[in-house]
Amino acid sequence: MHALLPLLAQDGGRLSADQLQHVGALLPEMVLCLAAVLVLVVDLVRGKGPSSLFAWLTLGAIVLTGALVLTGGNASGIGYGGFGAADVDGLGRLFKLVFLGTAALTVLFVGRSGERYGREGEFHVLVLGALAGMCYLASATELIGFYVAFEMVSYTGYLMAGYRLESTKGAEAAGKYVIFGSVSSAVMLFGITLLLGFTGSTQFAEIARQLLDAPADQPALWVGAAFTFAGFAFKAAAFPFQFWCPDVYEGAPTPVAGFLAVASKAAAFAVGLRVLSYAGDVGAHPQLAELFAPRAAFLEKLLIVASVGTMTWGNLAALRQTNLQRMLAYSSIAHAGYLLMASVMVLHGGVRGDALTAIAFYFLIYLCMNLGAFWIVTLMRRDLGTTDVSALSGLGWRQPLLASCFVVILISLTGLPPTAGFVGKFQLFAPVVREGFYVFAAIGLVNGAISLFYYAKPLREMFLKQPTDATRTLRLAGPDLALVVLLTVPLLVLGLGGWDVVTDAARQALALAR
Amino acid sequence: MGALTLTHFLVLGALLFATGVLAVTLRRNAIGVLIGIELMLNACNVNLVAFSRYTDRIDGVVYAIFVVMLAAAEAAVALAVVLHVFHHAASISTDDYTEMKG
Repeated sequence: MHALLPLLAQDGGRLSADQLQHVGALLPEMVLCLAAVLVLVVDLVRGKGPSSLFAWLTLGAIVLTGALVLTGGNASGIGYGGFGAADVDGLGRLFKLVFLGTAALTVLFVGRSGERYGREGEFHVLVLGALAGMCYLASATELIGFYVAFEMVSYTGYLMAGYRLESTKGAEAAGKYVIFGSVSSAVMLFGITLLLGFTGSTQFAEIARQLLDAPADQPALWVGAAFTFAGFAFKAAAFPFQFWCPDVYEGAPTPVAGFLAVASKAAAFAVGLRVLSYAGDVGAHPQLAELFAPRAAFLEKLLIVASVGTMTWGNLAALRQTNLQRMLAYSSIAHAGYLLMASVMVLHGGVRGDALTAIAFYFLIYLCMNLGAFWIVTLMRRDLGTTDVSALSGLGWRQPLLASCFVVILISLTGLPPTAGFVGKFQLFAPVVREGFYVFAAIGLVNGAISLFYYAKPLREMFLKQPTDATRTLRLAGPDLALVVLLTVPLLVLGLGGWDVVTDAARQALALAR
Repeated sequence: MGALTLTHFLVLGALLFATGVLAVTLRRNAIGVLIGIELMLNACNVNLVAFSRYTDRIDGVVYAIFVVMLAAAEAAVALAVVLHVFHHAASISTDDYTEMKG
């Protein structure tokens, strides 16, 4: 019988505190859940009408959670009576900071986006719920907790995507997201049931071990792995399951699209990297090499195909977009491809540390540049009423500071010096080259070059076209511009020389020696 | 007729899942698609409970309880969204959700 039952039977079924292990390490998630309930109750008590109260409550909860994540220690085997459900480690904590930062900025964007988000409190409950799910995902080490957290992120995402209430596109985005998303999670769940049944474990590490090293003569096990992989790739918008992504990001409110593009994607990577690390660990035992090597090579090929397909499809499809929000959706798909490229290297023990550091660093930069871009598009939608690139025509001459910041952000997204995007991409590519995947790295570089064509579009509109009488400017208040600058400065600072400090800090957090 | 084995239940689960997939892909009615998704989730539950029963482990049943709970939440979210779409498109046919392309 499973370990849970005898424990539950002790003490007449009452839980005793000493059987709970390290549950305090999940305090950040608990704070987020409580804050979500608090905001919901305050919203119900208060009634209708606009208010910034909910935004401040949410921001307060996010800051408190961030402080807890920063100051809290690591713990492994969090769970009950020998049943470990989660680990709090450096990688997970770095990802949690990315989620929290993204959510804080999203809340600020939403507050200044000039759009009504139904009852004000509701939306913030969804943000906090999504955050709680994401933070737990970054720590989960077994399937039950993973599934619940995964669905928490999905359901809140479906609802958030539909918050442009008066827009038909918004409704369509939510409709497509909910249908494609639910089908993919059902496929993933079916795969999980087979994995659980045939490996007899819900622990990621144990399942990875059995898949890679046990003489698995059960075809059902492989079907299970394939279904799980497909459902998960769907959520991460990885090739060939990325087709839903542009529609959803285009129809969603712009700040929500930014949140989905950064935080949801980071959450998928947090889980994926953990599983890949376990898979890499299996290969670390030399006596298992015989079974492991061909299977790891197969997994590697699969991931390389996904990575190449994701970045190439994203970049090529982005070329013909003129709607900036939709273009950023394709761009975020392409970036997921670059990140997948480094993720493959996690399977190679020699460069795993470098790859993980590079991915953590890249997510930090990605947060700044992608949210910066989405924020400028939010301002466009608010003040110009459109997100079409032609609306920016001549803007560079009228609002030089805003336009220059946008230029830095776009150069960084392309990955050119002297911005942080270049440093980040260099670090992503380095382990790939060092392990001898030259063709793979070359495809990545070509993709970077392709992306220049579409990132240059707003540049051309803003600076190469003279302002005319038809040129409209954005009504920038102090905080609007401050947010743009706040997101641009790190890109320059980290691009011009500050990267060592941050990568060393990331390395230290990951507990890796230099 | 022999005794029921694990395989019988797994085949039932697979058939149920296939029915769900067919409903999702062939139905043009959003509600029909949602029912298909529920069938897929129930196929998962059949698998989970069967594994639990035949391997004498409890985690399959525990997992199934979570799936039931989440399926209810999912239905609530999905129906709310479909209602919202209906307000805009005045249709629950998925063929009419074609505002965005390319």
